[in-house]
This record gives sequence, C-alpha cells and structure tokens, in this order.
Amino acid sequence: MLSGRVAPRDRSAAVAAAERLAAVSTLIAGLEHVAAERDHGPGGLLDWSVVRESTGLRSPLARRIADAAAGPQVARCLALTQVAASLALLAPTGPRARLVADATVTSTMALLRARLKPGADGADQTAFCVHALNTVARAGEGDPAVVDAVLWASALQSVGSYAVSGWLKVGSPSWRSGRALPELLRTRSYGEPRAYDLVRRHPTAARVLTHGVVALESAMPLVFARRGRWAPALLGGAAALHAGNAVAIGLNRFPWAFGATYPAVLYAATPHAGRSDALPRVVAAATVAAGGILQFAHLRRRAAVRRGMAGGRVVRLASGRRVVHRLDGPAHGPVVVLEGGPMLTDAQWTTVRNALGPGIATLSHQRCGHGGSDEVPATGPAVAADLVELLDAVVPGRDVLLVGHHLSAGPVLDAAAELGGRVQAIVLLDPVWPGSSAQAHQSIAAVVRWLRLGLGRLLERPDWAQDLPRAARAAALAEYRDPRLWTAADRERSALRGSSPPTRVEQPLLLVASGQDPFTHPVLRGTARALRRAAPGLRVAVVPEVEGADRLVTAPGAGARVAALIESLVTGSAARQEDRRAAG
Amino acid sequence: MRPADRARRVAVVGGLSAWLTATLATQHPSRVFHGPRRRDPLGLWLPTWRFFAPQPGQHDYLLAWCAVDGEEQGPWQHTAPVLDRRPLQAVWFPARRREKALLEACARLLSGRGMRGSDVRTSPSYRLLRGCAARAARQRPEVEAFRFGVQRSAGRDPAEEPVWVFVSPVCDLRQPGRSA
Repeated sequence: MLSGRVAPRDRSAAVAAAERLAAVSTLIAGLEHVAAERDHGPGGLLDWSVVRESTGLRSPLARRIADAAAGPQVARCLALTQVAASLALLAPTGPRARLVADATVTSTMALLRARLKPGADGADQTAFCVHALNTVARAGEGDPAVVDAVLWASALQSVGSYAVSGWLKVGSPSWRSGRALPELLRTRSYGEPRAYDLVRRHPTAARVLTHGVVALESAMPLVFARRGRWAPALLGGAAALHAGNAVAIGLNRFPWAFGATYPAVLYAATPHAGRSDALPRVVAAATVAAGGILQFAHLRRRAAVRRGMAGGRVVRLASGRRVVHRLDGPAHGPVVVLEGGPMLTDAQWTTVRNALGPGIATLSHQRCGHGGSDEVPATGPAVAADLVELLDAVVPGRDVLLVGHHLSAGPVLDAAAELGGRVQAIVLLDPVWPGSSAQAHQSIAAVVRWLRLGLGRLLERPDWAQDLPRAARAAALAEYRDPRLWTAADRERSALRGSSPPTRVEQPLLLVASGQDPFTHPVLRGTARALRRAAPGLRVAVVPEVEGADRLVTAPGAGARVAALIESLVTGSAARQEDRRAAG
Repeated sequence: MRPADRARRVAVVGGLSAWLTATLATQHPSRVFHGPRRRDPLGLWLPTWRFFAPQPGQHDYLLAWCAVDGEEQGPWQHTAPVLDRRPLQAVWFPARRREKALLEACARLLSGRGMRGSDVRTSPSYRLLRGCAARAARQRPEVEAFRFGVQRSAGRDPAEEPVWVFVSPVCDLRQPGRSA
C-alpha cells in the first residue's frame, strides 16, 4: 500500500505519510498516559517522587524542567497537548500547521520523557525521532536537499535498527537454537496464551518462525539493493512482524512508530534523479572517520600506557623483571607502600598521595603486566614475591607500612609474612578474597576482546573518574581503556582464585571499610571475621561517605580520611623507630 | 544558492550524520561499552537498536506481599497479577508501561544497580516495589507491617516452578520508608 502511494519520487508525500503513521503512535501514547495516571502517584510503579531520583539527569536546570513537567496537572496538559497535535497531523492540515504540530509532539515527548523513562520502549524512541525529523523537514521544506537528508536519516535509523537487532540475534545462542520465541511467549508479561500454546505444540514451526525473524531483520539492508526492488517485500515482512508482535506480545505502538519510517525507507531505496544523496555519503565518511579516530586513540593510549606512570622509574628485580615504580618523599624513615587491587591504576592513588603530603615517603609500582612494566611471567603473576624484591631493590633496609587495596589484601599479607619485622603496620582497604567462580574471567575476557579492537573510548566512564584531578584522571582512564590492565587484572584474579585470608597476622592490622561496618557488610563480613581471628588486635575504621574500594582511595573526603589513618600509623611507627634507635 | 541556505543544508546534513554515527556507536551488545549513552541519560535521542537481542526476556517477575504481626507472618499475595493478553491490547494497552516498569525495577533491584551504599533499601527500585506493595497492603486496615518479595517465574511454562529471588525486611506501614 505504502509503496503504491508513497514510494516513487514524492518527498512531500513521504513526509506526510510518516507524520500520519507516527501520529497514531503518539496519539495512543498520550491517551494511555492519561489513562494510567495513577501509576505515577504514590504506590505506583512509576511514582515520580522516586523515579525522579534515577533519571540520570546531571544538570540542575534539566532536573528542574523534568520536575516541572512531571507534576500531575502539567503532565496531563502535556499529554493532552500531544494528543491534540497528533490529531492535527492526522487531519488534512496545511504545511505550517503541520510544522507546529510536529514541533509540539516532539517537545511534549521530550518534556514527558523523564516521567515515562521506566517502562519506555523502542516505539517511544522511534516516534520521537520521526516527529523530530519531520519538524526539520517541515522547517526546511523550501529546500529539497534538506527534506531528502531528513528522509535518508529516517530510513537509515529504521534499516539500522532492524539490521543491528538481527545481527545481534545471529550471535545469540538463544535465537540461533530457536528457543527465544517460545521462551518469550511463555511469559505472562509479554506472551499471548494462544500464541504460546501454538509454538509449544508446533516446535518445528516455532523454530522456523524464530529463524525467519532473525533472517528478515538481518537482511533489511537489502532494501537498498537492486534499486529498491526488494524493499516493498522486506518492509511488508517487517510490518507483518510488528502486527504479529502487537497481538502476540502486546507491543501495540510499534507497528505505527516503525511503520512511520517505511515511507522514508521506500523513498531512499528507490534511486532517482533530483534526489540528494549527500547524507548517506557523509554518514559513511563519518563512520569511517569515527572508526579511524577510535583506532588512533587506541594506539596513542597504548603507547602512553606502555611508557609507564608519571614520575616513574624502572628497576630490575632480582628475578630479572623490569618494574616501573614511583618513590616520593623523604629519603629516610618508614615508607608507605601503596599496593592497588588488580584494576586500580597508579594514578588513582593521587588523592591519597596528595593528602599524605611530601613529608611521608610513598612507594607505588606497576606490577608485571601493568603499564610500563614487563609482562606477567609465564608461570603466572608473582605479586607478593615481586613486592618483596621491589622493596629490597628500591628501599633496602627501610621500615615499611603496607597498604593493600581490595584483592591485593592477600598478596600484601603474604609479603608481610615474608618481610617480618620490617613491616610496621598493615592497612587493608575493603579487602576481599576472590571466590572460585570463573564468571568474572569470562566477563573480563569478553571486554578484553573488544578493547583489543580499539573500542576503549566507548567504555562506560567509571564512578571514580569524577574524583581525580585532570592529569591523574586522563592517565587513569587511559590505562582503564587499554586491554593491558584488564588482561593483567584477569590473570592476577585467576591466580588468587580459591585463596583465603591467612590464619595469623603478626603485624598491627587496620581494616578500612567503605560504606558500613565490615562485620555487617554483605561482601566484607566473611573477610572481616577471618581477619579478626588472624589478628586479635585488629582495628577497624569505617568511611561511610563512599561505597566501593575504588572510591575509598579516589574520592577527596574518603582519600583524605584514609591518608589520615595511614599518617597516624606512620607517626606511631616513626616514634617507635626513634625509641628503638635511642635505646640501641 | 544563498550562503544562508548553504549553511543550513550543511548544518542539517552534518548534524544528522553526527547523530546517526553516534547512534551506531551506542549499539554494542554489552552495556559496559555504552559510555557515549551518558550524554543521553533519558534515552531520548540515541535510540536503542537491540530489540530483544541478544537475549530476550524469559521470565516474569511477580511482586508479592504478606502481612507481618510480631513473629507471625500471613500468606503471600501477589500485588497485581499480570493478566492474560486481550485482543484489544494489540491497539490499546495503558498497563504496558506499568508491566515493563515492574520487570525493570525487579531486574535493577536484583542486579544491585542504583544503590547508594550497600543498603538495598536506598535504591529507587526497592522503594518503588515497596511503595507498590504498601499500596496493596493498605487495602487491609488491620495490617501494620508487611514484607514484600519478588518471585521469578517462567510464566505459563509448567516445567519451572516460580522461585523467590528477593524478600524484603519487615516494613512498617505506618511510617512510609521505615523498616521495622
């Protein structure tokens, strides 16, 4: 139907058809919003008084706007305005009225989005994109190239969404085996009982249908093949899929929202003179350029990481391995040795190091496999042995205070047992011992594969990044986005798997926990009890303002508190050392 | 062509190309690689293209509550059982958002996302579910305290029994947000 009415060469008809189909989706959405207002009040699953805390909006202005738009009266007005504007788009209105209506629907959807974020779906996103694009098309109606760019954008969004969805399904065991559809239809949240009954009774047909969905979605880019000859059939298949989904899994607005992109797909799939094809060319160039930028950044980062830490020096250990380390502070007196967990970079100690100040000597290093140090030996990481060798090579004879962060607690206690009386005290920050599960290894290995392809810049920004000063943040993020850190961390974690806290610790031991008392903490509880048995004089300090081992050392307040605790031990240690010297 | 028209054309083509490239960059199957999505916290302008992929939903989450009176605990009751699909819902389905919000809240609660500190009671998901259970419990005036729980169910598949995946501490109905 669409191909007959819209396809050939009429850009205005394509825009108008897209507006009408998307308007049906936003009309239904607006009315459904009003009908389900109770869900946004106290006790509702979309209760705004709670939802507002998890919108993810950081700007105070954006939060104020979201709050204002989410008030019950305002939200109802916005939803009804959206309904009215959608009706205007369904009616035979003139271009100017349609521009206003498109802009109105786009604005109301944007304003209501925070309130509707829980429970939102792809139909909301697609309808929003279509209306926003149509606003641009209507505003630039005098310039055919602008309208063509808009239609191309809508078409590429549509084809891209089917293709990516299909390709990801090809890689999924659940979809490949044909289990996905029956498993989805068995749920009461999505599946229609008769549809589930059918796929249960006809498993072969269900498998064929599942594979058919994957094939159809994956093949969607073929709409552009053979001068668009296959486009009507492929879009017809997709329309049937959405209609089936509406009935079988209750995705009632999808046929309208996605159908609204089909006029643009048909227009873009059929080449003809007078059409501007600038957008797909620029998109292709931009995508290639973005890939190039990612690769360039990857190589630059890799080189920077392999140069080692800022202010670092190289020392060759007795075992022959070269290790990058950093020694700050006075040349005499006890040295605070900062030993991070497997995923902690040296730059993340900046907050603690700065808080300790220049009067206290600190030593940190990049373990084998990290930063600029040599690779992990083939026999596996030797974290405790390397630490002992490092201290002998860099601060021979000096007393040390060992600080073990997170999973480094085990190696630090092993090194302390080896070093004996040289260790004046031990501080463990959120100490944990890994379980025996291989799950962490599988997830890290998957991340490493993508990082090796240069996708480090796409990694989610960790919470601790906000805590660090600019230079330290850049260095820490560079290492975090490089596969070397993850690979080394994975090997260290694997080497520790199955280990447990020692039964005896000779030196004074301080446990610093983030968030809450470690003896009631769900993760730290077991470790804290074991350490109390091993060191009856165990001291415990809680830093309540942060949660998690990383932010314990990076957050300014927490880092300063940790530094103060370390400093009190160093002062005590120095005094004892002085007493011993006087007595000697 | 006037310079202003050319500038407008360049702006539209450039802007839309940047938008499409950014959209493509946020389709990674793993959430860990969704860094650029922090620029779109509401999920408004960077559409998700991964519908039901790589893993579609396989379970329902059912929210249930029970009255608590001292040491005594009453029978569990579902707050709002998900009803079977009706033909009209292919067109008109106001409850869809609520049902999806329940799935999302339960999934977030179980993954620990959104927690401030290690106390699950601070997470928005916990508070949404607690509020929903409290609303159901208030229908019975004699109830002063309750627990709520989440069951994971295979829906209509008789081969899998529903399993409890979360049970809350006792919640005081007279003081919203307080645990007894």
